[in-house]
Amino acid sequence: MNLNTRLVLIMISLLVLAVMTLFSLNQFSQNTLVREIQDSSQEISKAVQLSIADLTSEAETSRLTEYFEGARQKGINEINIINSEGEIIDSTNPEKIGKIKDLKKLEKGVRSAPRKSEGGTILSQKPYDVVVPVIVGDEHLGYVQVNMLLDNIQNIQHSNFIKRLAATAMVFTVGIAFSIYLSRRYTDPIHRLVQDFKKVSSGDLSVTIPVESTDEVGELAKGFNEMVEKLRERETLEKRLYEAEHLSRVGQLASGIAHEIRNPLNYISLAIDHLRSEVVEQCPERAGEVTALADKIREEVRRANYMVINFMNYGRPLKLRKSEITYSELLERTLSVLYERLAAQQVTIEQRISPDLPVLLLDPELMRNCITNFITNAAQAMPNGGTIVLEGELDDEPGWVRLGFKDQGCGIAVEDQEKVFQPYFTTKDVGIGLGLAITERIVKAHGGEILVASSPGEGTTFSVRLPMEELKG
Amino acid sequence: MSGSILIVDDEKSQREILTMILQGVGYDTAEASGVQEALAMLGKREFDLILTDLKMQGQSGLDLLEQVMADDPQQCVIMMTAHGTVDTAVGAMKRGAFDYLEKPLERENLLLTLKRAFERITLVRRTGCCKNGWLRSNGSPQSLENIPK
Repeated sequence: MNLNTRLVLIMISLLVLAVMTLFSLNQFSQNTLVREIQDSSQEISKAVQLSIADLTSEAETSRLTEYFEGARQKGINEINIINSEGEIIDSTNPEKIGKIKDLKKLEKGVRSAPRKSEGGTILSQKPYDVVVPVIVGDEHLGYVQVNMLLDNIQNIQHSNFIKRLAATAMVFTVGIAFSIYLSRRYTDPIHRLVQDFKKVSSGDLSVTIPVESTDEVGELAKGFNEMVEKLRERETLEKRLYEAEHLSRVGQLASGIAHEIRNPLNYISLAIDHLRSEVVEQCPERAGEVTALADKIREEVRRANYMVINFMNYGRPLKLRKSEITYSELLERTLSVLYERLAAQQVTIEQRISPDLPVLLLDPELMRNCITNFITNAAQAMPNGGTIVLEGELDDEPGWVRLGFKDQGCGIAVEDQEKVFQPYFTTKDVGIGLGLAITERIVKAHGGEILVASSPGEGTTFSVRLPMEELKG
Repeated sequence: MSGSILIVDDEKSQREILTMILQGVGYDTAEASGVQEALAMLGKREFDLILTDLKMQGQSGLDLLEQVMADDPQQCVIMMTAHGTVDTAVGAMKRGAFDYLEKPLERENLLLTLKRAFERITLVRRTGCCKNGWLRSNGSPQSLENIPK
């Protein structure tokens, strides 16, 4: 139900409530008033009846006085019996007996009597006089004057007014309470929405508002969620586009660099091999020295070339050419070109390959690139030498294998651990920070992930988790 | 080692070092700095093997490969490239290249590849000779370029 309908319904309910309350109050007071008037009329007629009987009877009676005691409660204040000369011959107020009334005034009938303090009347009370002339045949015997108070009626009216006021106030209080409740119910979600809007506008697109109602606020939340979802999609798309553009630029750069670096490397590599073969042939006595030197140069050429390969692999779309290979075989192929350099750095390799590790189905060339990166990084983290432990085992999670690379190096600071896979991030003085970025891309292309566990000063363990269903051909 | 090799590379230093090594082990070599020059030289004389760079100014090594293969499908061509990708390697092999070498080359590796290439050339020519009824008196060719194709 929307806000508009609710407000209109509340207003209509309030109106109906107010009308019904006022109507029933009115009926009640009307009945009370009618009853009161009936009672008063009866009392007047009775008073008049008794007075006439008193006036026409010769005998002295005390009936008026007796009656008056009861009638006082019903609003009769005073009863005077006046003869045709205007003299009060009998009265409920004994002080008035014998006093003379103005006949002209008596002729006027019902009128409001002047307020008097005497006779037990209260100041606030408003007395009225009812004067009835008593005529028997042609003889004018006198008047009966009934002085009465209309306070009961006034009281009824007054209490009726108070009740109406209270009812109106109550109805409006209920209405206001309802309105406040409703506005709260509407404004609270709006406040929350505003908070979420602020979050989104500050760039946090993880916000999703729970849709709790079907009204305008619910619609707004739904629309907002859809908008954020679209923004998220767009952001992902932009990110991918940026990544693709970035990779394409890196790819072009890599291609250019490859040409500019590998051609000179080619010259150096061939020239040093040629020199070595010439020297070995012509001066056999210096063969050992020259060979050692040539090997070192060749190793440096390999290193430079390896950096170019990393750079090129990073910049080009990965195409996996999977084949079945055991992890031991893969390690053997990788390590054969690394042993010499690792030995020079006093780094030893310890293999802990679990016998239940299945044959892996992966791209051996790209995986070799990954393993070389891990081992090179591990060796660089241990400038004074140490042991690199290579693990291969079934992961705790069924269907996955885990390849571990553990060093005893300097470790990675906690704040850097997330960044190590970012391209161009490096903590080393050497390198361009692409090794782990390309490694992560290759592992992800295989459907796997890389985890880092490192405590500064104690060493780092990189764990490559690969899904086995991907590995089984 | 014997046999004639045409070295095609747009960089002079690359041609020089290859010439130095290959002549050093006894091959007969010639140099061309581009595809057009190589084709012109191939028009003048025959080479047992063409060792060409892939990416060069103007036309690429693959263009050369295609034209050479169109003229003579038996011609042995070895590609070299500094932009080694598996795709270009596969492309070159499909077009009929004998092998594919990634720069930086290593001398032993290069000589091994050439040795294998010449073994195959010999084999192909022998079987080709047999098929055509050509048979030299001693049965084994002394100089490869003397054998008619």
